[in-house]
Amino acid sequence: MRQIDWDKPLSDDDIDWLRQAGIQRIEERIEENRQRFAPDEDELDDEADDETDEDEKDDGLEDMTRDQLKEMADDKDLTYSAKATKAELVELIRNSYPQ
Amino acid sequence: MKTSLWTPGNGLIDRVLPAGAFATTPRKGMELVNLAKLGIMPGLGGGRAHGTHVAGDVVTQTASGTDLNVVWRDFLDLLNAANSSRQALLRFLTFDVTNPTELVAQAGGGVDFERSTEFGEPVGARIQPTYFNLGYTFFWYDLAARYTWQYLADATDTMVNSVADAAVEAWLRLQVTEVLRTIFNNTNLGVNINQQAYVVYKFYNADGTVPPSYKTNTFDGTHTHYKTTGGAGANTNVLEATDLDVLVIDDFESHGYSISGGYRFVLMANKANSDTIRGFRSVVNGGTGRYDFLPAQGQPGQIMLQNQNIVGQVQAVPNTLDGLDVIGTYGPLIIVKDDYMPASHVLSFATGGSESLNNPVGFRQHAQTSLRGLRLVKGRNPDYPLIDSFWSVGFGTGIRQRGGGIVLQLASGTSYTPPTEYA
Repeated sequence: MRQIDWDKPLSDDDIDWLRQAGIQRIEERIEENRQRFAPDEDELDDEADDETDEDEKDDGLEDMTRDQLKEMADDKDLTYSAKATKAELVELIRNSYPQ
Repeated sequence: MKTSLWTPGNGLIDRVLPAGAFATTPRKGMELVNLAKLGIMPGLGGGRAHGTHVAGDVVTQTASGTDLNVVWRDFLDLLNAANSSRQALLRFLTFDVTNPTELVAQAGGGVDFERSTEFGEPVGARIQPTYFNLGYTFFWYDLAARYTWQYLADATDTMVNSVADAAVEAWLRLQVTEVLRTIFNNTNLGVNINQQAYVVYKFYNADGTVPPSYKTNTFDGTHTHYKTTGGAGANTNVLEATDLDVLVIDDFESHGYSISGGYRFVLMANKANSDTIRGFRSVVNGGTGRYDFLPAQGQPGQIMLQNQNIVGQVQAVPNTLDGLDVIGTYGPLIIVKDDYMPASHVLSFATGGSESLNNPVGFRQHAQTSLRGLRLVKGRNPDYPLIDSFWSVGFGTGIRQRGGGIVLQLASGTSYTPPTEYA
């Protein structure tokens, strides 16, 4: 018989098998498992933040040269110091993203 | 006229005289033949070689000297014997029906008492069992038994009888095959009976039908009695004790099928799976199941550890269930070994006994009594019915007790597939 580890989140296959097994009140147990292992709202927010951070890190600005960044800032009509470093230009451009 | 000519009664020459060959007026060199005196009417020809056959004209005996009509009567005796007793497997699985559809009450449901009040009237008990309108298929099957007279002239009794034996065996096998196909194939069938569409149902198969609730047990339209064991790795295709505990016994009992309710639970498996069940042990006995396998009477014994004592009632069941080959019990399940079962599946069913109303499969036969069972239809020659005779049978099947059977497929997947033998 399929071994179900109720101390872990059920996989989709686990749920499909349990539903055809004809076990009484199995939907309640499946729902309990879902609720037990469902992430709370703070965790979801953290995950969303992590995803945003990842997006920022994956925007490719770090790989661009200072001149390319200055050109990009000009295209966006951003104001920057003529002595702005590459890091300052990256931060300036990222701050221009819609929140 | 020469005396050697044929005349009625002397039987000397077996002649055929075409009527047109005779002169009706005297001619030179020819005699006038008096046809009336010869017993031959003008316009008709022929003699003993033409006309109605008599017993001496054809083969009436087999090569071993048995009259063919005796063979015919022997075949009818064979049919009576074959029709009078159905195979044990079918007796426990089926119940005879003659109607194309039936309203059948399903297990579950009931009425409730209410607490009395001083001046109140008790509510009326209106039993509302859940009925399903169940349809049954019906098909005619036939098989010709063609013998030429040359064959019968040279055939011995055994050779002629073997054809009848083969026909009866084919009929018995056809019944088993069709009943098992009804059981193992989980797809409902649509049939047209008298211009009306009916559904031939299978065991609960997640077709949206909600089984009747029983006590605190409720079900929904996804409930199915066609399951996979879901084993993984080395246990993918291996039957385990917990499969029977959870997937079979618990499910039957949740619907209200119980020994105290007059049911017996039978599990049928082929030899390999039966041998696996022989090793099932309870947790307290070092195994993984709730129960221990107990051999039936007359079955090979098993050696147990000496420090273990019997707890509860141990009763070895007989080694046959009205003809079925019982190897023992596992909890409430009577284990029957039968190689009609495929290796990949095991079948469990609740039976009320031999040909009981509570048996899971309806076996439909024709409404006319004379058209039931295997019949031997006479050939064209009524004097020799054996020649050109054919075997005929008509029957159909359908599930009567949708909760009365559970099929386990020994597979790791999550959806049931019928065995190829009965797909």
